[in-house]
Amino acid sequence: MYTRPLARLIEHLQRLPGIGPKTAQRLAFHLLRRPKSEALQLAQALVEATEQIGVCSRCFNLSAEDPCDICRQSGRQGEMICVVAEPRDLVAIERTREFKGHYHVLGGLINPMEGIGPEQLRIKELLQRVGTDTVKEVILAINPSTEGEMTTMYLSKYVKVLGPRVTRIAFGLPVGGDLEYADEMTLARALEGRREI
Amino acid sequence: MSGKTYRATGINLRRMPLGESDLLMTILTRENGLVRAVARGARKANARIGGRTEQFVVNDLQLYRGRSLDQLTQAESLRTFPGLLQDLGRLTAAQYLAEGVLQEAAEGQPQEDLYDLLLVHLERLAATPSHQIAARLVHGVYQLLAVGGVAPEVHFCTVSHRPIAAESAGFSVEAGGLVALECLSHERAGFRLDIEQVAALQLLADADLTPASLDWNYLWIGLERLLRRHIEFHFDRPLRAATLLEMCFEPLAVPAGASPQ
Repeated sequence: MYTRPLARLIEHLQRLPGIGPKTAQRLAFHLLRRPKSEALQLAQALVEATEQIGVCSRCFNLSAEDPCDICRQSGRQGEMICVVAEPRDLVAIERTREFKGHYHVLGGLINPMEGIGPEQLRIKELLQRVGTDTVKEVILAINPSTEGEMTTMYLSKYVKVLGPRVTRIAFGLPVGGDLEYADEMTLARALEGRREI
Repeated sequence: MSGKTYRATGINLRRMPLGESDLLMTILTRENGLVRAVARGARKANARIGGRTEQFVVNDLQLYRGRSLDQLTQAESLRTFPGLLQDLGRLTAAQYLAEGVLQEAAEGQPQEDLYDLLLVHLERLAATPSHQIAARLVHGVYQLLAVGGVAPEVHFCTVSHRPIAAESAGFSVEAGGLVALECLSHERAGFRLDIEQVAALQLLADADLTPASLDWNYLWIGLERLLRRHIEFHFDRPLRAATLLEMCFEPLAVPAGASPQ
């Protein structure tokens, strides 16, 4: 149906998450309609990203340099480590501009039913960091899902033994959210995590 | 209500991210057995349905029958098990039960007994102290297998069919349960069980364990491994949650290179 290079492009686009056959077709036709230079820039960006981006050997964030920009920043508080599941969670926290410590990216969450155990995550490396660095607080910024709970409980069990304070980010209603529409679980957690004002 | 919309009461057993912000849910419903449904936008921070898609939440569901996957249109939570989220061992044991149910449950037909039994055992697990988790788990696993008719035989020799009571015996995964000692040599892959292990195994067939037996922690940990072999042999698939469970039952050990300050 399609000429061979177009079929190949559609096939490769389809492999991306959230892209079905229709979207892949639309994207391919869009790329072909644009000036050739744009497609070449996209191809160049893809090649550069895959060739240059690796992981930081300290925090395991995605980075073109090792250590990453955040680990190299001198103004950061070395005694605080914020543990996140994925690099995109780190980006979300950095966007707040509230946290000035260091990070540690686990590379996922414990999910026994999917065959992801603690040994597949960078938990050993975190414990080594906490055990050797002068870390006073470990903040667990992990999703409030079952897998998140599991990872949090596992981490707190092992990190606490090493001495630092272990805290977890609060859960509850989103800013601007409506109490009436919140589900029972979210409200229960919000009540559980209430604080004095 | 249109023909494509239906209601069901279900326990969330598994959830997987799908696309940008959706979830693919696997739910054990009382009325329709295992249902796979998409919860659109459930991963968004302001999603109304968010918390109701969590694992082990029991919901009154409204679903829309799709071509390949159903769609979760509404959910009203009926029951949650907050106790499971307070202990790693409890949560892992609950996942173990869920994994077993996912292997056993059928799609498109009522699963009332399995559903009711899973609720009972989740409730017991959620309230159990750490040292009794193994007992609750092993009992739950046996009972869930029994509902499906695949529990190991614990009262009769699976080879000679003679009753076994207050005696040591063997256990053969291939034969499907206890084997009298005199018959054990015929079984290639048999395990030898002492009198206490046989007695504990026979207790599993009762609706609940005796209060005293709940404290036989090491005995139950051993029997969990036996039952696991039985499940894995029967369903020809490994139980993934079991690996983490072993860690929960192990004493605390800090990985090498990380020493207390």
